Amino acid sequence: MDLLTGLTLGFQTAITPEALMFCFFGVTVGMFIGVLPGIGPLAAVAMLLPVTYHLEPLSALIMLAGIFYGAQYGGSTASILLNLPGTSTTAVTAIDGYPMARKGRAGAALFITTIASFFGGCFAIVLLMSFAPALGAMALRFSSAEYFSIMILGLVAAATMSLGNPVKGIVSVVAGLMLAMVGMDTTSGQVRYTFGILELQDGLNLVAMAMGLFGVAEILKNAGTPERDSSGVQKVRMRDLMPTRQELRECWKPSIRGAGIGSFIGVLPGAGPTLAAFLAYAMEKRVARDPSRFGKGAVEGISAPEAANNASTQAAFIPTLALGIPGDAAMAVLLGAMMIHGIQPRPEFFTENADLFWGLVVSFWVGNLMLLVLNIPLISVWVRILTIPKRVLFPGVIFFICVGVYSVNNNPFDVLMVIVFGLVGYVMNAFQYPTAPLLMGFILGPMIEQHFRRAILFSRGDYTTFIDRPISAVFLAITALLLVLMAAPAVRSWAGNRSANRGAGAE
Amino acid sequence: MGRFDRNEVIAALAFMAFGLFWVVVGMGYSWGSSVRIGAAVFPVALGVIMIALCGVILGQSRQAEARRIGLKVRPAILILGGILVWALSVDHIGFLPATAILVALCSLAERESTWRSILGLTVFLCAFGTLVFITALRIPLSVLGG
Repeated sequence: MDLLTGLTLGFQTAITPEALMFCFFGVTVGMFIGVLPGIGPLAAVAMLLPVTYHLEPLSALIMLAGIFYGAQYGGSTASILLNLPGTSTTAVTAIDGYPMARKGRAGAALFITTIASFFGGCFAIVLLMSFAPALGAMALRFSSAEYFSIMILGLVAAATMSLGNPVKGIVSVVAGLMLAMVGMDTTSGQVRYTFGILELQDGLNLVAMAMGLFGVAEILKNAGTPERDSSGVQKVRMRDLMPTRQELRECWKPSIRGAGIGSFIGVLPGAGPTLAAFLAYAMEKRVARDPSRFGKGAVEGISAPEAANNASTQAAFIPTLALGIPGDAAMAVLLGAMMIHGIQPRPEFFTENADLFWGLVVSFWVGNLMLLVLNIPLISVWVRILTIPKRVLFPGVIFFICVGVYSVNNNPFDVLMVIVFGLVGYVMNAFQYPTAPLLMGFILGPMIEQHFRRAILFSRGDYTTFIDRPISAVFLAITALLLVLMAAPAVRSWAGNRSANRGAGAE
Repeated sequence: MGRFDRNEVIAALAFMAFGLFWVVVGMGYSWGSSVRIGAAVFPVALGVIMIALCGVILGQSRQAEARRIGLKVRPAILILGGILVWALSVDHIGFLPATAILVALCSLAERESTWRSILGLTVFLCAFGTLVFITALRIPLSVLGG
C-alpha cells in the first residue's frame, strides 16, 4: 500500500466524530496528568487503561497514545514554571527553561517548547509513515531466533543506556523477566510460581504492577515532605508568549537537530525519550558558540531536548508496531494495552490492520495539532493545576489507582498487588535501582521465553541457531558490544584500584 | 581492604535471595529435553544470572561511597495501609465507607492536611467515583454494604 492510499484510509478512520473525541480526550487528560509533578506518562497510561476496555480497539489506541504524548507535552510546563519536572524526560528542559522563567521569559519558553515539541513530533511521524511499513516487510523474514535476539538487545539497551549503574539496570530487567514466569506456562501448560494462589494463574497483573511501581512508589517518595512552594509561579499573559525575533532565530536549528537525534534514538529498541533529550542537550552545548550560556536560560537548551523527546516518543511507535518491541517502559505499557485489546503488533500489522495503523498515524497529526492549540491558550489553567496541593492531589491519585486496578478484573486481589509493587518500587528507587527496566522485562518475558524455546525446537536442539542466522547474529553482536562497553569502565577502575592497593601495600 | 557500602550490600543480598528462591522453586518444574525445553529451564537460568549479577554488585560496593538512604516510614504505612484497608473491605462494607477510610488515611500522610480539607476531598471523591465509576462505567461495586 502506498503512502497516499494509506493516508486516505487513515483520514477516513481517524476523522470521525468518535475518533476525534477520543483523541481530544486523550491528549487533554495526558496533558493534565503530565503537568502534575511526579506523575509521568507511564502512570497516566496505566491509570486510564481500564477506562478503554469497553472501547473499539482503534478508539482505545488513539486515546492511550494521545495520553502518552500529551503527558510528554505537559511535563515541560511544570519544568519551566516550577523547576519541578514531572518526569525524568523533562528534567533537561528545566535546566534552561526555569532560568528563562526567572528572567521573565516563561511565556516565551512555553511557546518555544510547544512549537519545538510539535515540530519534533511531526518530523518523527513522517519517518513513521515512510519507514515502519518497510521495516515491517523486512521483519516478515524474522523467525523466532531473530525475535529472541532483538528482544535481548532491546532489554540490554534499556538497562545499560539508562542513567546510573548499568549493572543495577540489568538486575532490574532480570527481576522483571523472573516475575514474568509467574502463572501458566503457555508451551507446557505447567503452572509456575503461583504458590497455590488462584489469582496468579494468569500471571501477575500488568496494570497493578505499573501502578505500583510508578504511581504509588512515586507518591511514597514525595509524601510527607513539606508542601511545595508555588508562590514563585509567575502569571503568564498572552502577550508574553511571543518569542523575540532573536529567540526564534536561535531555536529553529536546534529543533531540527533535536528532532533528528530524537527520531534516531526512538527507533532503537530500548532507548527512550529521556536519553534522547539528554543527548540533544549535550549536542547543543557542544556545537554552541558560547556554551557558558547553557543553564542560564539558553533557548537552544529547551528547544532541542523538547523536539528530541517528542520525536523519540513518536518514533518509538516504529519498533513497537513493527516488531512488538517497545522503546521504553511507557511504550511497553501501551504494548500491553494493545495486547489486551487483541492487537498483536507484528510485521503483518501494517497490511492486515492497515486501517488501524493509518488511523493511528493520522490521529498523531490531529493530536499534535490539538496539543499545539490547547497548550498555548490554556497556559493559565495549567499553572493553576500546578498549584494543587499534595494533600489533595495524593489521596486523589491513590483513590483513582485503587478503583482503576480493581476494575481490571473486578477483584480486590490486584489492588493488594499494587501495595506489594508500590513498596518494591519505593525501596528500589531508594537503593537507586531503576524500575522501568523491570517493567520492560516483565512485558517481554513471556515472548522471549516462547521465541527461545521455539527457535530451539525449529533447529532440532541446535543452540548455535542464534549465531548461525546472520540477522540474529548481528543483534547479538550489538548486545555483546553494549555489555563490553558497560563493563569496560568498571574493569578499568577495578584494575586501577588493585594496582593502587598493591602500590600502597609495598610502601 | 576498602569499606563496604552497607546499603549496597543489603540490596544486592535481597536480589540474590530472590534469585536463589526462583532457582530452588524452579528446580521442581519439568526440564524437558534439549529439543523441547521444559518449563524449568528459563526461570532457573534467570535465577542463576540474577545471583551472578548480584555478585558483581557486591564486588563493586567496595568502591562505592556510602550514602544515607532515607525511607519515610510513617507516610508509607499510612498510604499503603489505606490501600490495604480499601482492598480488603470494599467488597464487604461498600464503596463509600472504604473510600472515606482510604482518603482519610492517605491525607494523614501529609502534615498540612486539615479536617476540613479531608472532609471536602472525601465528599468530592465519593460523589465523583459513584457517578463516574459505578453509574457511568458500571464497575460492579456496591455503594454501601457488601
